[in-house]
Amino acid sequence: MPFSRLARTQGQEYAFRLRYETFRALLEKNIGCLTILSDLEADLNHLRPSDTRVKRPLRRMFDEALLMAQELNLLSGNRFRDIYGQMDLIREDTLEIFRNPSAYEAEPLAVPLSDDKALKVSLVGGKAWGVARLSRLFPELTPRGFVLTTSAYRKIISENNLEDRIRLLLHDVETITDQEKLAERIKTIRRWILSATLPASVSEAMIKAASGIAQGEKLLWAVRSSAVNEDGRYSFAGQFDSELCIEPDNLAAACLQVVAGRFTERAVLYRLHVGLKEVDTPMAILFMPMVDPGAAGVIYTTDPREADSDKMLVNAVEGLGDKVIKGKAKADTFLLSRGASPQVLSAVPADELVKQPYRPEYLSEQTLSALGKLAQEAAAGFGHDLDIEWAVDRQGGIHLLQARRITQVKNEEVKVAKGRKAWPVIEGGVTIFPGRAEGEVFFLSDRADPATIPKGVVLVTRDPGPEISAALPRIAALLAEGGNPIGHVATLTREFSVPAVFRMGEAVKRLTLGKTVSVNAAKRTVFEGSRWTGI
Amino acid sequence: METKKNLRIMVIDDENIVGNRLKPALARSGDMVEAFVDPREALKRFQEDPFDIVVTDIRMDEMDGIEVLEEVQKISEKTKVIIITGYATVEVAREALSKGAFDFIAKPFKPNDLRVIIERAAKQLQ
Amino acid sequence: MRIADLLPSRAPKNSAYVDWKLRVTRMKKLLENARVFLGALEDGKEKIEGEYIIDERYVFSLVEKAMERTEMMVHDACMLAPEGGGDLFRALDDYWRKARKDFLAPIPRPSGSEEAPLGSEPEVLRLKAFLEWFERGEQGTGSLFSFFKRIVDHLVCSFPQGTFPAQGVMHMGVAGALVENRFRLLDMDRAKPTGPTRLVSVTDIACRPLGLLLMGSPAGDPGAAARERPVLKWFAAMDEDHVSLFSEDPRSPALWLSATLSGHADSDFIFVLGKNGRPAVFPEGFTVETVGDSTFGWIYDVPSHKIEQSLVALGKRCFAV
Repeated sequence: MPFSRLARTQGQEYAFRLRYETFRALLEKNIGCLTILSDLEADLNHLRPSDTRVKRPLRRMFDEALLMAQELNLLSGNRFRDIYGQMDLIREDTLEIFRNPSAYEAEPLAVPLSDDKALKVSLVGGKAWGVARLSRLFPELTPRGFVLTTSAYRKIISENNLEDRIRLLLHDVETITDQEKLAERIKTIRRWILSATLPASVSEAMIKAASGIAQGEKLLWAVRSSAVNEDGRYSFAGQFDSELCIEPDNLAAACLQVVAGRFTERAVLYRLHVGLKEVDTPMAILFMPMVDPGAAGVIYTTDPREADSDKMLVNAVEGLGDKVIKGKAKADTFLLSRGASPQVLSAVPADELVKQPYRPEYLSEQTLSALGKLAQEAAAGFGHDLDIEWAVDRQGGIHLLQARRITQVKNEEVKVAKGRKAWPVIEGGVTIFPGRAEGEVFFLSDRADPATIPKGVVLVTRDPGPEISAALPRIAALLAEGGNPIGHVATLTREFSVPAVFRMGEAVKRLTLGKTVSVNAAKRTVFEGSRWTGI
Repeated sequence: METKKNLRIMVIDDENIVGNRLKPALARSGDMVEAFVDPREALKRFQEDPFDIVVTDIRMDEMDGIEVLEEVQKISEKTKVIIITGYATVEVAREALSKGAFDFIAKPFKPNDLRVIIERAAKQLQ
Repeated sequence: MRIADLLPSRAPKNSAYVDWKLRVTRMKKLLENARVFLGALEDGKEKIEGEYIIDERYVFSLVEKAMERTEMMVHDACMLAPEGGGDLFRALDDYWRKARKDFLAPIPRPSGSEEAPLGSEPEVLRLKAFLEWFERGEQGTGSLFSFFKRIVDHLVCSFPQGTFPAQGVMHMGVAGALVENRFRLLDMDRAKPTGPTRLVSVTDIACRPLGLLLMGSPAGDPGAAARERPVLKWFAAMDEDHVSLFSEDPRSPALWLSATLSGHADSDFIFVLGKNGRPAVFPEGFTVETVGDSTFGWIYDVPSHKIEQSLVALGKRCFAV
């Protein structure tokens, strides 16, 4: 028996006391480690893993865990002494990341689109990168412009002491269930940004780049956000702001407006929902001289409303296209054929009362055809279909302002185990909290109100968000397509002792609403019907 | 040098020690300080005659500081509200800041530290 | 008796390498608890002297902090040296009883609306009483601080002898003025290295505090005379920000030296423990105490450069000997 010798020599009381205190110490350290873990998780939203601010809590956690292992082994007669070697390896591997941090290159604060560095997405963001590429293909048709880089953005944030303040306010954003509270916090962040000042170095770089392009001309500028991770796999289209017709003296204010646009409720929740970390999605700011347009709009090199379309779609308005792009105003719609000489196949006016056939004065068929040709060339140059923002000036000259990949969503085939009733219907994922539970399947869609979740159901959701915490006490089990195993929501699920499995994948969609299923969260299996009567 | 207008400062905290210490410390510079242990009484007085600055504890039995903040703002938008928090309520401080509190100070604190915050708030009143 | 002796006789024992990693980590933890414990006393005194506005929540949390850390130190001490731990726990229980009865009980408020004179508010009086007990104790009962010294004494009395690990360590030689220092070094951030024992030099080690400690010794090999000088053996477990240094030689000034230098004032800490009149002299800025035939001293809550200077000064005393 463990402690037997101690008991003999020092008395039963001491042996028992030491055992008890060791167990208490173990439990306390466990809580300590979980706290460090979830704090790190929140911090890693804003800090890079190799940031030295991550090192200290990490080391603390390793030390605590080692002592926990000692305590565990004392209580169990050294049964788990293999843990020590394993922990050493984990510690060594984890700290490796700090031994080789990627060298920080001093990146420029402002970069003209014509510069090679404008082709570096991580520096200039998706939007600016698209324009830079366009300008390589059509140097005459793309306006000159410049970008305040992600380095400049980081400088704006850090020199205005915004980094820590933003981190503080968004620290527990995953668990805020009160939308009003979240909205207020985000409003506060916007206020802080709008009352910030551009660091001198950033301001100088901006003015220098702007005058370099203006060359003495008095230009009006379009100031737009260009986020990293924008227009790539995740469509951020329209998430952030753009400011138009800005005088050179107001560039700084416009810049801050655009930066503040990164922190709207929609944008913050979007990033959270899609799993994008704040630190991975810095932004750049794109400055382009305004075109004085007779017409403006967007052209899609393939009709986005139809799969595998062989037609092109054009949205157009007279004058500035800004409102159309933001989805705030209706545009005229034209369908064009593809090929060497695109033809206008149909013309649908925004105002349905206009007489057909519709022949707008602000936009001629030749212009549309030329536009179609250019768009196809651009798509060929990029290697995929594009939606391109364009403007036609009062002299009839075409300007290409932006190019974005058209997002395609595919339906993937989901393989689900079929066969005998004894086999699980779905399997896999990560156990959040073990246990068995049965109940009727209830799907929670993204916009649904958690208050509608009935009692005793097996809740199935795509990405468990903070809003479900109110329902945790009354559900039987929680299954999720995605989800973060060590995030705040997972912690809450454990606190409520709800059997839960995350990251089960799309297979969860195959469960049938209302049907009873049995969940074994420890084994990560779900069976049809009731398997264990009397749970 | 511009003459500083004397401030009217209200202190609300259900623990006597706060008002006791702050009254002499803040009144030294000529400002007028009134201390209350009952937030409802304090608000009644405020309604009669709004103060320039309100310093209120965040957690009181009768009424919490956020409520006080909201009531004060309803009566007088210009008044600057400073929140006193216990050291463990950073969460509430965040909430208070986002609701429009001017700043917060955590107990234990030196009266002089609060005075510095009050001076900053006073500048914004002009 | 060691903690390993508490395991059933047939249970496999840990290697010396593992044992020392556990020992060093546990000692670090004990010192961390000590730092918070000592810091509580300092903080309470600062609040009184600085005429801070405090609330009863502060007083209770301070008392609880000091007591909880004392409790944790007792457990850590027993994990390091189980023999005689029963007495420590019994004493701990007495201290807790006293703390709960006198300092954690509700603070009486005067019934009238009379304002207490400044400096005599009930919260302040309670805090003063606690600090008094912490430092000086009361008639008949020891102070909390004396209990802390007792815990340190408990550790010293049961320091393991002759058990430094031979496997998994690196070897380093550093010439002092009068002695030759031989180190066995263990890297806490790495798994146990396999293969032949590595010989390293001062420039190879990535441990900042150890580097500063060694700055006092002359560089390079002074030559043939070195071989005739007495050898002082050391064992050091280190990572980037920390070193735990041990020596069993009665000639060495320090039995145990623990130094954390992370650049964060809230964790930087130097603790030195010696025996039988050693260390004779501590660098300036250290608080020094004696208990039994041990002397120990510490420094914390000072700017980084002060810690750095202290390390250089200590090093000269330890290694240039």
